[in-house]
Amino acid sequence: MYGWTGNILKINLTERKTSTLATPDYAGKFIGGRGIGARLIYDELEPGTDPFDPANPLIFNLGPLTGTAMPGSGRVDVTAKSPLTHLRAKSNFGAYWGPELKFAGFDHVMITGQADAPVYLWIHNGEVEIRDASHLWGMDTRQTQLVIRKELGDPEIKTVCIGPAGERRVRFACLITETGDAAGRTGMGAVMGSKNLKAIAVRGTGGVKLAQPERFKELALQVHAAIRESPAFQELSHYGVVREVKHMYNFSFFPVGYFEDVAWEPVVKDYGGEAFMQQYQLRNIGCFGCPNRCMNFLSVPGIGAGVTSCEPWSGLTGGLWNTDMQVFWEANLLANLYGIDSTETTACIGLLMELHHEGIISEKETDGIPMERGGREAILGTIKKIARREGYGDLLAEGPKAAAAHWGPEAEARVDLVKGLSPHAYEFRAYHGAALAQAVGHRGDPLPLRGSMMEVDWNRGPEWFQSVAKELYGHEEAAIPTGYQGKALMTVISENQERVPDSLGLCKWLYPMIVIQSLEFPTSLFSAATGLEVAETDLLRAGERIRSLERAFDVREGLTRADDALPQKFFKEPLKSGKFAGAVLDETKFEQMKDEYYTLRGWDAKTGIPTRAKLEELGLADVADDLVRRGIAVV
Amino acid sequence: MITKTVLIDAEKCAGCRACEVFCALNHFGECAPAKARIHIVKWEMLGVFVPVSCRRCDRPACQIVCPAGATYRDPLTGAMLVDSARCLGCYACVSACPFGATTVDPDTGRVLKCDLCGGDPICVKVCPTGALRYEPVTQDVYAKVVGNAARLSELIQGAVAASDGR
Repeated sequence: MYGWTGNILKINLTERKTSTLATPDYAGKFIGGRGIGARLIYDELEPGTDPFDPANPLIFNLGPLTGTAMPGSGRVDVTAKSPLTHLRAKSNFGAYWGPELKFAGFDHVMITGQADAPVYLWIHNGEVEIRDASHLWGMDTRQTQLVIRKELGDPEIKTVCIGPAGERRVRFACLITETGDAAGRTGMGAVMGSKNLKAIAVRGTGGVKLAQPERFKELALQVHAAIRESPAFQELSHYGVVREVKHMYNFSFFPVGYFEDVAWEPVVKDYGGEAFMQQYQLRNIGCFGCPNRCMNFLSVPGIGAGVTSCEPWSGLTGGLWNTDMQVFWEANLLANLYGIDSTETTACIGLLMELHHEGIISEKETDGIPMERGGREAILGTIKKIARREGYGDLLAEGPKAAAAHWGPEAEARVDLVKGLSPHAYEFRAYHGAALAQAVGHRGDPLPLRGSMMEVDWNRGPEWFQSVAKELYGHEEAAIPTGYQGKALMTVISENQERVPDSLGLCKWLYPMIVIQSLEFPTSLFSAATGLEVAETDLLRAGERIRSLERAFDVREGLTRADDALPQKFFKEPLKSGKFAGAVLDETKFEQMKDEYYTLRGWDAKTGIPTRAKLEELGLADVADDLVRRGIAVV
Repeated sequence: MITKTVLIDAEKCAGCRACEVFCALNHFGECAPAKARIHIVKWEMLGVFVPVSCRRCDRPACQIVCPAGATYRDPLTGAMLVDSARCLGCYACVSACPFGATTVDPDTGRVLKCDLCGGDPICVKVCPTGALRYEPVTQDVYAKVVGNAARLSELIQGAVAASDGR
């Protein structure tokens, strides 16, 4: 078989049995990666199942282009039912593990059941072993990987694992691989821990076979050249996102604290990330086969070496009123070693700081550590407490809402969540497309999308991006952050686009979000790899199908239109300062954007449930039948 | 005679492995790093990556130990090639290479060694950092080769010491 290996591996840890499914049975409609993953969990999981029930499948999803010479082919999609949202989880990690699993002969790995004692999986060239992990239990994510390599005697082994936080089922525990690359969001580490599964080690010496190798090679060389010529490549490969963070503060896109401010002078004027990066950078690194090197590898004396990228640069700084970059770095490494999602952790600490600032809690509630804004102990101490489930950390490990509920209704009212998950730290009062995408998104956190990036880009050249928006989304206001027109179409198109790289096994930063803003290359390389001639519209159509399937899964779990909401703060408290001072979301117009979104999606605007006509049109008639059988009102 | 060679600067390598996957694609039409003639030895947690490939030695061990005379130098590119018709498959060259740069195809058991893609090495084309360059071997370049080798040795020793310490 070309592109795909053809094999989906199923492992039941309770029965210690493995079996396989055939990828071709799913690939026609759902491509691979995220798409097939969505179908697998839809078919596997009985709605209402607790996320920590052994029946909850933890699924790793590779695509037809994973492990190929196509740049960006090192990403892995992960799904399960999320212990935070109780909806379909979605997370994604990079580095080398995904390609290695492909070379070992599998497109997907679905893990169900629960081992009776700690185990790890050893998958090599088509074979699977379930091995004792009692000696690994309690180890951090780095040590775990080193011990496994030594034990199996092969330095080329790639491992994805959980740290102590995942073992203790911290609801936002993550998965960590290699350099420290994480499947951060939606609590995949907690699900893995609930299965008594410490790690998955893989090694393969096979390869990805291609239908048209010469064509594939020529195209892959073209993509390489195109990426290396782009300005985004130059920026990301030298600095990562760190210089962008400063722009984001200037654009009032990144909030400060727990969505409390946007223009806090110390970060807007003197953001210390870039200088810190320059001082301690070893090099930037990327994922398998990718010329782009968007991750910063730093070595800081007295603290340690490791990788960071993206969210920690703003979360563990401005998100916590913190300007001490040494604290930022220590916090970043701690989160990685314990295996907790730095975004959700930032939100937890940010919440504590807000509650403390407002006098709702004192150090009595936080084991004697005052939750002062930017406090070193408040940040580092809380990370340790959460990961070890000690004292107030044990409360936070259940998620910010559960912790706040413990401290009373006033505290609970301050919690900002979308579908149970802390939203991406973007300023939704000013950026309305991002607000819509966040609210209707499939996990309470679908960001970032191409559309939300366009709103940011608007700051760099308003007229140009307005003309692009008019062409792409039918209205120039789509690009204007504070507008409402054209945002629904922008969100629909961006969501469909996002599912294409996620399902092909590619990096969405490369295509189409930041570096190459089209799906032309992914389409032609998919055709050359698999021998199936498709047009971009076919892949976007699959993206639309996957989106509606994901929605149907969540609807089955009880999701309704009312859940597509944002915290009240964004409608009630206008921005006090910054570029968009005075901006706030208008609730009526926000609901109108949602109406427009559901209509474009072919979902019932009253309920947010996909209509039968749309499901049938997408080849998902069986899903419509399933919803009806379960008593869900499909119109 | 001035011959071009692939210069490896491990300090610049970011470990992306584009060289490996394009090498296999170019030679076998398949994306299989295990079939590549260049390998990146990785200390991912330390951010250290060392590309290993044929050095085209002056007195090549692979050629000296070959009992069948199958290993020979391409007079045009300087690459060490293996005549598969003569190769016994004894792997003497694999054992003898001081760099570990002669490897074995896991599917066929055939010996793999960099052939410089006939004088247009694809690994160099796709290396995004300049860790791999294809340049004439001049006196200057030779000094770089020696300098890099010294740094490489230090890096490896440092990395090994650090990973043993964990």
